[in-house]
Amino acid sequence: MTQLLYVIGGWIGLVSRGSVVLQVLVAVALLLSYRVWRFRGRGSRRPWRAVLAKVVLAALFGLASLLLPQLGMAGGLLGLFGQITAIWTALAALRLLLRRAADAEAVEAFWQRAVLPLFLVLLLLGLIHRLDGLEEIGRVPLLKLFDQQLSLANLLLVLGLPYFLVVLSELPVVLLGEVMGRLMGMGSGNRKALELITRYVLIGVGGIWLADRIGLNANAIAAIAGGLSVGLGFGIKEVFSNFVSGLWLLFEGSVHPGDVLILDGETCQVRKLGLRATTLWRDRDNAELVVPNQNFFTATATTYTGSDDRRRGQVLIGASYQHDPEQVIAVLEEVARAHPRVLTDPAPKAFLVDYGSSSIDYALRFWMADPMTNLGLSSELRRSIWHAFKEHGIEIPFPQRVVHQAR
Amino acid sequence: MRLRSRAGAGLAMAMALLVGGCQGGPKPPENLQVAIATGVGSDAVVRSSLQRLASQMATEFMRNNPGTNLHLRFLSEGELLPNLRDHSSLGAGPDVVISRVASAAKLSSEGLVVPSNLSPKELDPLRIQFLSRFRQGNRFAAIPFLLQPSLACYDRARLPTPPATLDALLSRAAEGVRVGLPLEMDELLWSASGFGASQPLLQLLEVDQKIRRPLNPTDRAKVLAWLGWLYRANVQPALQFVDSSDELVHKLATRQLDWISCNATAISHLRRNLGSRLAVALLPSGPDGQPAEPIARQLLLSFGRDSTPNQRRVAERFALFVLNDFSQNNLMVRAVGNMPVNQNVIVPVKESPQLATMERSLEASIVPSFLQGTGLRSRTEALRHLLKQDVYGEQPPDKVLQGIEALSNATP
Repeated sequence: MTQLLYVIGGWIGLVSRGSVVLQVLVAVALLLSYRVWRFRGRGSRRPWRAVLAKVVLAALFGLASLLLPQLGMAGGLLGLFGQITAIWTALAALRLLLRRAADAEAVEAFWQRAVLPLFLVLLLLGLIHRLDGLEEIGRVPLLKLFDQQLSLANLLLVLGLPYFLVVLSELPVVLLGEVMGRLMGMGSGNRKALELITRYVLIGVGGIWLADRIGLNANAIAAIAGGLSVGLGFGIKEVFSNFVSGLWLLFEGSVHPGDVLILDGETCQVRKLGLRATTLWRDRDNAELVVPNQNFFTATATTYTGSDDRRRGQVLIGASYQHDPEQVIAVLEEVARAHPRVLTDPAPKAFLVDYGSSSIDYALRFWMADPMTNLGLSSELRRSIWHAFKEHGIEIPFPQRVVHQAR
Repeated sequence: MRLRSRAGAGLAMAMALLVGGCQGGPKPPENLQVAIATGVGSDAVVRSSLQRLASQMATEFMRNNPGTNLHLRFLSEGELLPNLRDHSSLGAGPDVVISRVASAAKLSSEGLVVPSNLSPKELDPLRIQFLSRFRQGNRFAAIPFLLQPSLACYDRARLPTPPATLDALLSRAAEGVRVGLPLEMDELLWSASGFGASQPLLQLLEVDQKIRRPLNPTDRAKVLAWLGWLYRANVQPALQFVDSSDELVHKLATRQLDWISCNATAISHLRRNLGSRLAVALLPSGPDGQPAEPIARQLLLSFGRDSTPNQRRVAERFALFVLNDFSQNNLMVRAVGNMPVNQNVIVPVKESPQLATMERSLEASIVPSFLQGTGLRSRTEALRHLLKQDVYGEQPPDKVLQGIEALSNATP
């Protein structure tokens, strides 16, 4: 730490020079002018005007960096500020274009979580590099970790790399998933599984590289593993179990994002397969259910999207005893065949299932392509059956009970 | 927006403090940036020696000057100029630069360093060798700091007595002694001096038109004799030419060679590897006894142009410190291979045969200045190519000489 403060002390010697102070003052004056202009609200409602203002600001920095050397003073720092402003302006323009082309909220989230922090980190590193050289300061030893001297560069990697691995891997992995999906004709479920696995692999490889980079030796890893095993035994057993279950589900491929499952008798669609839990969407009330991964691992899961996406539905109906079952069955099958969302292959089929107390009971069985539409399709078929029965004079009887009174 | 405004106000306040300076309280330490060029390209041996030396100097200066922090930045000679251009454009150039003559000359010509404010009254007592060569009006563009002579380094277990002449060197190579020579003109020029060809070549290759002189027929004959000797040398199976001095040092240290021409700064590295088997001697003289005149390396101190007046004062105090009798003596003793420029320092030639050899080598050496000797450095690659053509027999000596003459007419 002393050495780090010593190095930073060296920068004070550099920035206290008259030529540097003058450049910083010019830069502050230009930035304040820009802020005042923004504060007066002229740029707030017109984002492209704000971009234009940034272009002007970058140009002014550039102009000042050319003018100062003419007066015998250094102007490179202003040129550097100009370059930074130009890059920031280009990013701001890109952000506006992306917001138009894609989901604005997603773009904004990615911007805030990834682009902005990355830009600030690179900006800081760039300034240090220009001022002093990154290699020198990166080698400054800070503390000892498992008998290994941790340098400033490695400490920053330990702190920053995991964050950027998690955040920055998101978008490229989605793009890769889309490309692979198109090339290999993958379904959305498989594609999302591929994305998730690729992301975990990237994060894992990054973690291993980081451990190697900071010189974490095998003994240290064994010590961490020992500590973890105790922790796993007591506190985070469930978390770890869910994590392993999630990975297993992905590799096994039994549950993918996009799959339709039956959970507690309700049809749900898998939205996201996370590290600890799976998020399901329930159609009935638009609820999102967060289900621990080990539930799928240890209990029976019913899916309609395992080998294919088709689902069989059934409508039960009763007809009066006076009607010929052949006629009723023909009407029922005709109704199902006429519905556009009922698959023709396998063909819909009606069955006489029982002689009830008030009616002969029939079942109309049919197949649909989208398993989530069962309720709506069944409802539409029931309505059609009512109209068809009315048209053919087939009675749907009320419950009847014949009462014989003893004399 | 409120947060940003507060941040802006904070920045403004910090700037005001920075510009105005803090009143009262303990005086902040003065921070000095020292850029040190650590040799050319793969000159790893020289680099590590110079880094050790610079760290010693800095520690001792800071011990004697509390409240002063020296920040050393080590760069290769190739990186020095672009790095200083870049930093100086920001106004953040170093306060002191330690480099060889060729780099210092370029820095001076580009205005990246400025002449010293040290007066003759301050410098005269130090009796600095070669100082007058760097005079610009009443000031000095750079100040000599250390001298690093060229020597012959050899393994005494394989070679009890070193060859005294160039012919003896070839004879020993014919007997199986493994000899290594560099294919760098400035490191090989000592062998030309044996034929009386080094001065004509130096004058031919000078960049400055005022001192550049074409070869006369006598000089041409001398240079051709030397080029012929180089070709005959390479015919010996035990004698090899290598691309860099660093490679030569490595080969002697790993006992792949028995005799090499080396710079004195390599001694400590070789000593670590060869122990008492390492011996040093003067480079062999010519066939008619003309002494070898190697080009000695000279490190110079230059002053940056961006320093505040206070930084400049501390920089000059640092220069006077490293040039004083005590420091120069200390550097000579502790940083092996470096000879003092301060003539008040007595070199203990009787106590140390090694220092005696270095002293004798320096007496015969060519010490470059801003005007002299820089032409060789700026044409290193082209000259290496021509020398290769000569030693491998791709071109006869007269064609190689024509190539050198053509090179001297071209702008480096």
